[in-house]
Amino acid sequence: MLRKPQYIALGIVALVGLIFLSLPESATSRVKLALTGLFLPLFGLTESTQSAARRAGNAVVPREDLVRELEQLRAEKQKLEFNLAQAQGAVRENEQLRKQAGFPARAQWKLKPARVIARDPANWWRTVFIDVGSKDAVRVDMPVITPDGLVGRVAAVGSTRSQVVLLGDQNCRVAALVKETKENGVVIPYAADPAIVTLTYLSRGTPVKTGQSIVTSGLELKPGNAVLTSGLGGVFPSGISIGEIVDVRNVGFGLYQEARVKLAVNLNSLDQVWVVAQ
Amino acid sequence: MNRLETIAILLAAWLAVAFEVSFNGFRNTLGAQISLLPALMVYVALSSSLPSVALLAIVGGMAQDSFSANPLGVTTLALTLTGFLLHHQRDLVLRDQLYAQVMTGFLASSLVPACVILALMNTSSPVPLTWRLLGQWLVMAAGGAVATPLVFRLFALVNRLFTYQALPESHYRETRQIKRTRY
Repeated sequence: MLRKPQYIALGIVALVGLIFLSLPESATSRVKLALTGLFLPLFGLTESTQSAARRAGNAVVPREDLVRELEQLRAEKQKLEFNLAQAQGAVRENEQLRKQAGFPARAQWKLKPARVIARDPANWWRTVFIDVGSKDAVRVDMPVITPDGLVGRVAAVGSTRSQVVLLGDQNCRVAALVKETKENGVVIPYAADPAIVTLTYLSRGTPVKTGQSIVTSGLELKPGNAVLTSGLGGVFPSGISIGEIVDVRNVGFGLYQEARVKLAVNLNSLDQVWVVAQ
Repeated sequence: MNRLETIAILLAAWLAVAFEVSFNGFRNTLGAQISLLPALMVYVALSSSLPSVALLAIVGGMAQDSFSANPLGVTTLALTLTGFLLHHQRDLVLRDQLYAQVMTGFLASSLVPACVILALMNTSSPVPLTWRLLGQWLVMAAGGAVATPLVFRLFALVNRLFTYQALPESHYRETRQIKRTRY
């Protein structure tokens, strides 16, 4: 049988749980970010251990390998410098043409590097914590990318840490388009495989007929087609790679199509990411 | 609940959550992260008092939810329920037997996520019930079953190292000694 103090202990725990469950979203987010501060020594320890391991690894690499790699990188750098000069010329030309056509100037991305410091312990959510926050001018809903493509968006911001919702989580939906056909759709989670998302609400791709109200490209979606952010919705800028189509099927009694998309970024091995400040 | 026990429980909960958020080995190989908090709760519920159960549920649950998209407090309630049930039935569990440790670890590690998912079903963003989720649930339960005996052994070692061990009494009695004297 339970004694009176034990009933009190149980009551306190239940009360604490219920109080936190009934807190508003903004307050919960602040409490969560404050609680994660208790683990800051761990993150510092992990980072210093990793850097020590890297230094130890670098110390045993043969000098010949380092010299060979240095030469390769020098050659690659020269090639990239040529490409950059070409690209800068194209950018200048584009800006002049936009000005002549009366289009507004395209905003430049400001990228902030960040490191993934923790992952969601629950298997049914897909979020990570990064080591930049409001002190680094990170705001909610900023896109997070890697050189391979889109990773997700910032969901909550603390002073030195932020929570990022990854692609494939049900709280991260992205307006996307197929590069080859220009068909627009929405990226939603695909429950069976974390490396795949579903691109849904795509038009059927049938040729345009006279008097047809739905405008389609008339091109069929094919496996291998690239999927990019469309820029609709205002959260993600256009042109960021999401992945490529694996297969396509008709849904909604043939009213629209759905495509499974293999993500361009391996979200299981995220380490260094970039926050896009537009 | 003594001070050492309280510190040990808090430290173990902190380390368990730190392990879950920073180690990706199980996630990459088995497809699911294994939670050590249910295994820890089995040890605390079977070996300690109800305030210890409450302390672990609050500290561990809050810490885990703070790194997760779960509503804050949902893991606390799931851990409390599991810990209370085990503590209530602790006289019926042969807690020193390996088989009992594995089975209670399996049950606790399957009950905690089940309670959390059940609670999430009533929120605005319910978790979709899929075969993948079922597989992850089984991995978590199996992982907890393996981890529980290890937690028992770890705490036994800590107890041996940090608590006073009574020396076995000797049969020798000074008063019973036959002293041989000259007379």
